[in-house]
Amino acid sequence: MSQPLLEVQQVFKNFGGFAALSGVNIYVNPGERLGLIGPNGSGKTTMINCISGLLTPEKGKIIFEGNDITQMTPHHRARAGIMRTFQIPKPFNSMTVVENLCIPLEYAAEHKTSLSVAEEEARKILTLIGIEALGDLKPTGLTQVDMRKMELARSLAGRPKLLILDEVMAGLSGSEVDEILEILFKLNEQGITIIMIEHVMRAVLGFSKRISVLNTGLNIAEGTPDEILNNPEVEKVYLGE
Amino acid sequence: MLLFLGAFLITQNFHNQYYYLAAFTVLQYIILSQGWNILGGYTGYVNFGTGAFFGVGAYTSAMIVKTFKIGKSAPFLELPILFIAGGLVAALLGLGLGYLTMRIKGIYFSISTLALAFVTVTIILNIDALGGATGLYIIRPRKIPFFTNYMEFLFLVMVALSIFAVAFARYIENSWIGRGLSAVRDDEDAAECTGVPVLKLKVFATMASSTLMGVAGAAYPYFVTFLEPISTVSLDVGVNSLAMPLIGGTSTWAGPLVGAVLLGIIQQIALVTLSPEYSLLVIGILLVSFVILAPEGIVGLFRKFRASLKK
Amino acid sequence: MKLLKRFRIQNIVGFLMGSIFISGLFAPSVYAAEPLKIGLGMALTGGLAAAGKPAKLSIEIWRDDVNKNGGIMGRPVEIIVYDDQTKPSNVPAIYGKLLDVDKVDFVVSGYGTNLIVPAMPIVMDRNMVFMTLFGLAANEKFEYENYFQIMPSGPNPLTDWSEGFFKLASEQNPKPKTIAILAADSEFALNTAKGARMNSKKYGFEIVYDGKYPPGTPDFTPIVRAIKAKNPDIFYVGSYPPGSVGIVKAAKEIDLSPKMIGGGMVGLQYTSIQMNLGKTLNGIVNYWFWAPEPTMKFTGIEAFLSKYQSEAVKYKYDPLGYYLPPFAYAYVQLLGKAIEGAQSFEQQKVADYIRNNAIDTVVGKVSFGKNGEWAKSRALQVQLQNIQGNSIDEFNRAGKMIVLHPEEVKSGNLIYPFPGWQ
Repeated sequence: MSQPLLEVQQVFKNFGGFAALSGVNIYVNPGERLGLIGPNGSGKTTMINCISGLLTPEKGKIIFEGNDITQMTPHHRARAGIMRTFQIPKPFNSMTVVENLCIPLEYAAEHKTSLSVAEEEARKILTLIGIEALGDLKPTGLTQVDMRKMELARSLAGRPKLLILDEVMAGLSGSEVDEILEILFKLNEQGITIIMIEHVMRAVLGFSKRISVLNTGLNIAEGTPDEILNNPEVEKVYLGE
Repeated sequence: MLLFLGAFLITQNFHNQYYYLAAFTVLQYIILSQGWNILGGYTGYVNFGTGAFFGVGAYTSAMIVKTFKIGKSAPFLELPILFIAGGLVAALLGLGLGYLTMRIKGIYFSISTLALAFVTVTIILNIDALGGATGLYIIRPRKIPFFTNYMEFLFLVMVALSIFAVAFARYIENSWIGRGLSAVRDDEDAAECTGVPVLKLKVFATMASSTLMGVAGAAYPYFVTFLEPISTVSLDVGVNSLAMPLIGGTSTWAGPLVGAVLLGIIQQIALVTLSPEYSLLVIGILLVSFVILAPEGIVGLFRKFRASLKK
Repeated sequence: MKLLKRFRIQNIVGFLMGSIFISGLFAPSVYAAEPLKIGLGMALTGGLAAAGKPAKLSIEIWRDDVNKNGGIMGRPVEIIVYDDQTKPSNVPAIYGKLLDVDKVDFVVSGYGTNLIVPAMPIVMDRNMVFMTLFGLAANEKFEYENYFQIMPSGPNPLTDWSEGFFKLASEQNPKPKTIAILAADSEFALNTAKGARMNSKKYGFEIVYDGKYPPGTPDFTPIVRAIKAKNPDIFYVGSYPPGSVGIVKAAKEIDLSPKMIGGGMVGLQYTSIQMNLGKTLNGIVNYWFWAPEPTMKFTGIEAFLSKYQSEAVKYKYDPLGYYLPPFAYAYVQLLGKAIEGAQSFEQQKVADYIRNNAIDTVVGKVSFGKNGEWAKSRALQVQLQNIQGNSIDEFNRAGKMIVLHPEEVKSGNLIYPFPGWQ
């Protein structure tokens, strides 16, 4: 299959006078692990919002599985198989963790059997991620790590073909980063295509097969982790580690 | 079912008119509170314009009575037709509100609903066919078979409608729609990205909510006999429909029910015990106290109480 | 667990509903001579409270007067009043409680069409005699034969209000030709405007301006200018207090001086507004109900007014009480006299007595005609004259509110044309 799963073609996005994205191109092949890096304000989160549908670009196209989804509503894209996490986790606070997962199960994955069957499925996913003990708790009491894991679990519940992670490692300790990475590798093995937007270099360099670099709304580099590490352009603009 | 039969037996045996009249308003508020809570409690959109939907239901109903005079030929059919019509027209208004305000959230939405109430009053005032400022007379039928008087029949119908309203709210709450509405309430963006069709659900909630309000309004003309826009589309109705679920508890169908019954009864008692200024004060104090101290309402307090008993 | 929750909720609901019924079973007290209970709802709070509270006071003055003289057929009168909060939706339950729980012997109405009509079905169901306080043509759709209205508008409620005004205008020489009509967009005002149109046709005046304004209009200058541009001979206004004051002031400011001005302005009869407008009132011809003229000294009115005025100061009600209070006294007074006249406490007998007899009250001899309205209109037309200033003493004596119509209570002559603003 030579067709990419997702293509972002020459996308422009403005906020008032500010150009967040100025003709960005990204693609990811089915089953690939793509890393997306860039300094703060380079447009990474704007990019995800355009892909997931919360924002509509002024110019350019988003193509998923060969279909132009640029005008598609976010919930349709979710149903089509695009799921994302949020930089600051957005749990449904009035529901338990299990109930949080039932939402994408019932809506995105369209699992319209009974609630109890959906809850069972949800618990299975929680077990996969390793947080089955949290199932009946409300999100408000959870630790950072656990919330990130819940976000991850909730995205999984939507049975995604493409999973986009928005800085899921931020603020986690070394061992916590490893925990998450292990889960992500497992998911990828099961066939889920993953785009990882990250600042934590260790994670993204170790995880990605290919990395794309953004700066001020433009692509500036693309290649394998090794190529990116040794790219002088990248070093110049990206003073992070 | 049992409640309905019980209510029917009461109408056959108990003829003290006052209780039917007092109960009418309480039942009306049960329906209004359940309606309000679908959009307010379940979906998180606070509506101050209940009066507009209530008024639309009332005026639709009154116009049909005046124009078609169904009451004479098919007395038992008349009310259902009125309720359906009142509900439908209110639903249309709700649909309009849903689309007009689809991008407006939070406090701006609430202010728009307030504006809606004012606009509705102005429109009604300017349509002479609706009686304009001089008002509309709707004369309650004097007789109806099986009942000593029409008010008892109206009471029974309101009981049936209240039961329906509660059942409907409960059904939505426990269904996948209800869960989707909770997601919308908790976080619209996250809901969209997890596959919830947020706009569709919001419009649904608005329409369901306004339909119930319109249905509650449809019975009002026969109760009050004289429809006049300012007192029909009143802020009073709006505030009560909001206060009752808030005090009772907005997260579940039991909350608006408890709130409506409790507050409704307090208001009816205050009305006829020579100290009505206090009723407004009492409601105000209750509302503020609950919002600050017990934001989950009486139902929330009850749950906490039960949970502490378990420990 | 869900079942348990449902069961408990149903219990709570059942308990709460049960308590509605239980709370109604108040223990009745025991009286010596069985009191005669008269019940009503009245606007003690809300938009009409400024009129409703003095009305309640007037009713209580009557009760005290009657009880000093031994009550009605030996029974002491007891008044039960509930606050309808100026909300029509409160009226049914109030009258239900009065009749079925408090078991009053008679009911009378609250103030205003909005608060009278919702009580009609209950009252009609029990065939009760129903004295009512100021509703415009409220019985027209019901045609209930036991309804009686104390407001002296007369058998043709729409036109009787302004009939006198137009008749006076038509008698002038040269006869005025054109008229401008302005009304507030509210029930009473629109109705008087309707009547004004009918009367304009009847008396042959050409309507050169016919408009309405939304209640709450803050500035009448534009409207009044537009009217001045039409140069009408007559300016007929139907308005409520804030509008009445605003229109008068605007007319003075731009000097709109037709040959006759006034008609259906509510509020010019209130003492506070009179004291505000002072000399500006001179020359205006308006509907009126009672004025302190020698022709209006009916039996008992002066005694009532002095009692009212001494109480009213305490509560800061209208200090003179010439507008509604005499009629609030009269409508219960009439009921009491009818009970004694019929020598019966039966609703139908009392109603028949009222319908078939002219009864003396503090507002004159009252007899009723079709639909329970006054058989002959006693809506006065009054011209304000000789007002020198703003003190209350300008308004509590004869010679300032000259009654021009109807003939039998006329106390002076019309100054025509309108002498100009002062």
